[in-house]
Amino acid sequence: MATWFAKEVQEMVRLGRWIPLVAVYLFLGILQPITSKLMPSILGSATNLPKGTVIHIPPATVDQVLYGIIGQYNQLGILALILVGMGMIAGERKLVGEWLWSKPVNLTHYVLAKYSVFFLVAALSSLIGLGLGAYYTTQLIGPVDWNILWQGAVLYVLYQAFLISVILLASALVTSASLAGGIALIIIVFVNVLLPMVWQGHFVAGLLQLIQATFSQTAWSGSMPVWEPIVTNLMGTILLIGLQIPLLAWRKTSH
Amino acid sequence: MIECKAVSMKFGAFKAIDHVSFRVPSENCYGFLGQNGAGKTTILRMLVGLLRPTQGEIFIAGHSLLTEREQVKRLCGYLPQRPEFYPWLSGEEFLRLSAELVGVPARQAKSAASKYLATVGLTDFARRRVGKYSGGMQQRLGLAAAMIGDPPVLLLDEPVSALDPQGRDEMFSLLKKLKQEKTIFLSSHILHDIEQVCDGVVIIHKGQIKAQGSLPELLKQSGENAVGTQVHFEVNSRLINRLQSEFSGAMQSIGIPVSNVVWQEQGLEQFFYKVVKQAEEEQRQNPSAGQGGAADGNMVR
Repeated sequence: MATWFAKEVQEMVRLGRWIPLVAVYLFLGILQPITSKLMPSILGSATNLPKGTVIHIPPATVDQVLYGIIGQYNQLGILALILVGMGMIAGERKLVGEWLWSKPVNLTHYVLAKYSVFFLVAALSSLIGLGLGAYYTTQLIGPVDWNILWQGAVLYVLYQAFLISVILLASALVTSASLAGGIALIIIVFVNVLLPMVWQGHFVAGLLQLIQATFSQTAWSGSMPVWEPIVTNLMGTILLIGLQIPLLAWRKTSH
Repeated sequence: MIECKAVSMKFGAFKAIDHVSFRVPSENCYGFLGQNGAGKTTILRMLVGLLRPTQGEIFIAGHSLLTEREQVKRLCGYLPQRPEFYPWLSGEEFLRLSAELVGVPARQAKSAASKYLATVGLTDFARRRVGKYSGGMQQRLGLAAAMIGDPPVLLLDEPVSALDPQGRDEMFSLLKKLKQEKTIFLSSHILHDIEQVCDGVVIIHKGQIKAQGSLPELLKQSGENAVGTQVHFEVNSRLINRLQSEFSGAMQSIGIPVSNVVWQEQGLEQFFYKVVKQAEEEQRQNPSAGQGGAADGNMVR
């Protein structure tokens, strides 16, 4: 495990894979409080309205800004995750598969090392982004309850853990990185958008509702227990990581 | 020892390998010959567990590849036909990774990497990123990666194809040393090199084994001591004069100009082409046999 972990860290650093993650998450974290603060004046100066028109935009609240960061993470952040992760297994199999699978590779170590390094970098990036976002929110909007922020951040990282397991599973499925990215995007759209239509408030949708409830400090309104989305996300993550092992074992003999 | 027993491989409806059986004895170096598309790489990939045969069994050092795949992988060092490795690792880092993967303890991996880098003549390039290695250097690095961990069996797919003449000589000197203690099975298009280094050959044609055994046996069985193939070589004028003085009379008596006469002992090249010719003749007579492979290339000396 240590061998693979060290190799994955080297790969992450030398190929600069950490850069888009850190850049996107920090940028989104900082941008949200700034745009929330400046939005009324931006709208006022950008629109060509008749004299005397009054636009009343209620000032953004702290919880709106913080959940707004999560909303941005859930769009551009996901794209950054897919961009970084789609080639992590697919590209490696394509490049060095013939050498790699001729060795007695412990697939559990291989998959766990890839997952943990990717997850660590992504989680750290999003936490730092949220931290910076909270700092600017305090400066521009109002004081942030750091306890609430911490709880919301942990829940988001849990969601991110699930996203990463989807991306790596897609990457283990095919040898084309771009195809893996497409598959990951389809699965994420499915669980984020389509699945909640028939399974409202559960699983990923439930976790996102829980994050929103945490930031807005409102009571959990779901019909199921509060632990349900947390447990189903964790179970989904573990299942998808676990699926990669037999999938790669099968793929490496038909390489 | 490497043993294939009635191995077949189908890709969809296409039978690439058809009931192939052969044996490479322990501590011998055997060459694997065949035209392009004959099935050499497919069989080598099956031997190392990258492809699962649709039929038959493979044994490496007594272990079945069907039931002890991971154990077999520890016994085999494999050099792919087109070796490609992590371009962002240095040669030394790559060999350390290779060493640790085959079970060399982490604290010994560095010394193992240095040893095998020296063996293949890459010590001066140990810290250079693999992405900046030339094709020949990558092939040497691939051989080092195959040897690391000291596996008893080496499976080498065209190990000298990217090497210059000096590199080929060095590689074959190394293989001559290694075959004293390892079983080596290598494919190559360079028949002269195979003849120099190998104790025996396995010849495959369109997915079927057409000949196998030790070189002296095969060449003896072939039944001819000399053939009339024409070859060209450079000699100095003194030697030409000597040749002419000794043979001109005899040659002229049968109407052959002396300057064109060459002769040689039968070698592997003649034997190989004879086997291929026979196989093609058999196929002409019985078109349903030997549908495997997709031979389209030429062997070169």
